[in-house]
Amino acid sequence: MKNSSVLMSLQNQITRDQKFAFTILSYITILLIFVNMLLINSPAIGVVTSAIYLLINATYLGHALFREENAFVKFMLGLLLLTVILGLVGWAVMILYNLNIIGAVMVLSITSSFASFLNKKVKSENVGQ
Amino acid sequence: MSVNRKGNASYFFALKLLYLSMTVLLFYLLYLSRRVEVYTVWEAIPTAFMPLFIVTTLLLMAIIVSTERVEYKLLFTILHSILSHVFMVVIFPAGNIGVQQTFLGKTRLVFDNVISNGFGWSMPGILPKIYILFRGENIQTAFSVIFARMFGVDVYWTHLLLVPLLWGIFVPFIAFMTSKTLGASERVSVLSSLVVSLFPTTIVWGATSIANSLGYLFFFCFIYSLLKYLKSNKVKDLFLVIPFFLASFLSHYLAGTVAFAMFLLANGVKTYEKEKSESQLRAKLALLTSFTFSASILPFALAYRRFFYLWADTRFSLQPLYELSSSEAFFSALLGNYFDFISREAYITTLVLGVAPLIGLIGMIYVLVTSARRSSKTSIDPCVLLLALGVALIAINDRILKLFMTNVPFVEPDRLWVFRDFLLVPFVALFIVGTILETRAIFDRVSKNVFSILQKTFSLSKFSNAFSFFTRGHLIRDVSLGSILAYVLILTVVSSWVTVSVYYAYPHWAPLQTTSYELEAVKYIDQNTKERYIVVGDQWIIFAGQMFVGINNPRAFYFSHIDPHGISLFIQMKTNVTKETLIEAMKINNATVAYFIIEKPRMGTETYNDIINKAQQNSLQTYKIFYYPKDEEKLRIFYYEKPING
Repeated sequence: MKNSSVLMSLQNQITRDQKFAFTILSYITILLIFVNMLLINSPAIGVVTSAIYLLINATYLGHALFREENAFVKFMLGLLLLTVILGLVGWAVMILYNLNIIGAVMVLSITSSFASFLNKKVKSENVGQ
Repeated sequence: MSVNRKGNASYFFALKLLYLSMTVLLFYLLYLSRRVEVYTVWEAIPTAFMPLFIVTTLLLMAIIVSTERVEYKLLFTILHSILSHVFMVVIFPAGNIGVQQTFLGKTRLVFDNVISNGFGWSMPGILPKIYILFRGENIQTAFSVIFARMFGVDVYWTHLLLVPLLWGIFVPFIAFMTSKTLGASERVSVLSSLVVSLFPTTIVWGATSIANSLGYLFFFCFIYSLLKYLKSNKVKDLFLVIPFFLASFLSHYLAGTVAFAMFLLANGVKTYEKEKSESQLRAKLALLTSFTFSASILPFALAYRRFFYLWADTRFSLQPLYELSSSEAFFSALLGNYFDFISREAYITTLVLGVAPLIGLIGMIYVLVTSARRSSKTSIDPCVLLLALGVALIAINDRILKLFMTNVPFVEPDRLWVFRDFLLVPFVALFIVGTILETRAIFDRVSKNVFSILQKTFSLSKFSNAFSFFTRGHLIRDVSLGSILAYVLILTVVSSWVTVSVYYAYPHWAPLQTTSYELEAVKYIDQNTKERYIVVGDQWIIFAGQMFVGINNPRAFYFSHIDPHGISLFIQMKTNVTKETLIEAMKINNATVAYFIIEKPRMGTETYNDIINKAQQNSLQTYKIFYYPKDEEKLRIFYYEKPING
């Protein structure tokens, strides 16, 4: 029970996104991924920053599209959808531009903005109700 | 179905700990099985591995049927699923040899910025361009490159692990969600997540990192989203259908086409649901029309693929049917490719590949019949109806492709089976739970009868207490003897069955996998050659080389393994090893250095030694020799360098 409530409270905090704190954190992770790709090439930095990126954006998508599910299922479905969106956007960017470092940053930014937008939209709908 | 009650926290903790320890041990054993030279995983895996695998699966089954939280059950099932799918990645030095390495060769070009805009723009004509741009190599490349850049690792790792990890994580999860959407209880749904492993096809396709596997994975996600949409009828859920459809379509045209047919079928089912209240006949006719149209999509898509891809030559033909005797044609139409297995006396393969679908089919028919009987209006759950029609659609397509078409672009019988297996998973779980309940009832009855007979026969007073204890049919409060026996029996059977499925999923015969010294050789060349170079070698060395430098990379040139020019150069070198052939090869990418690689296990000792002798006679210099084990020569690189003023 304890683990589930921890996950739930973390999800609540992320989806509340007060003052766009988590959206900004998501963009900071993209910046760190960019710096890592360009200069450092460290898997440790990459894994940590990517994990934070995935956590925030999967939570946004899970919250926006699977509100009726429990915390774990919401996160898993959000993660699956985030993976698919990353692939689809990556495909489009590769075909139209290039999947170099700039292209990869574009993919991450587009996906993150989309997830954040959906989260905000659902939040405003909830407030409206 | 519950065996336990509250207050069993310590028991659950011990069970979870034991399961996790066993899983860690199995991963460790797999890691220890990693080999330099290996043909199949079974050659390397220690004897103790499979018995331990059965025990671990049994522990997982015990966790699944317990009252443990569903999140833990799912996480443990995912762990088990990942374990089942990484055999080849862990044991082989460079994953399964062949197509997935070619895919990595292409992905490498994008990762190293050798090419931009993916694959397809260079094709002549607009239609072939579109066809290649929408093929799976592009989206798989996008996945592998994005993850590699995100995690700061080489694309080699993200490519090899992409499908085994995504499949291992999401296929059990989607099986769980699909069963839940169909209305199954949480325990049946969690059981579905393990039951996927009963189908060997879902193991083998999830173990190889190729676009086809990605197509299957996203098809399964698509089916879940489609069922969710069908059930809720909300536009919001349609939003989910679109990305999964696009992902499956972009991953592989087969998955995309079947997904499209299923989408049309779902619309047919929706129309049927709307119309049936007005006119049953009209509704059924509409459904039949929709089914017929949906079933025709795949055969026509294959036949007309040549509009986009000029080399495709799939056609409708009665030739395959004419080649069979009437009895063979009848049984082929009835049993599909299972009949081929039976004809070849491959009974075990037939059994292993056929039992789970058969049980799923029985489960599905049972659900259809009971739901039709239960309702006065013979109304069937639209989701169940869609899955049933989907299975029928796959069966019909399978027979059409086998009996009425020639030059179908895939020869493996299980390509279409994977779709069917995914559709049947929830019903297999339902069948297993039904079997547990029935067995429990039988055992309860038998145990009560047996003990009451024993009590009557031996009416000894000192045993009377013990007999009455059993006669009640209960060992401990609320847990009957029959229940325990039923659980032990069914869980053991299912665990063993999962293990057998894994055992038969991985090939028992294969060519020598890419060896560690082949990898070392191609890496050595790349690290120590600053100039442009070209490598002439057999397809095995091409597979190894392209993983690190890509296919047709002008800086470090490896031919595609199907390039006729590359093949003819290799044959020339093999028959008469001379500088002239290497000089001719160097013209291809204006290389300064050319390498020729030979491997003893691939060519045989005699040919290998013969080439070395000829090379010495023709003054072709050796660049590097690789040994394995320590003193045995296994691979030799010859080289020719263009003179500086030449």
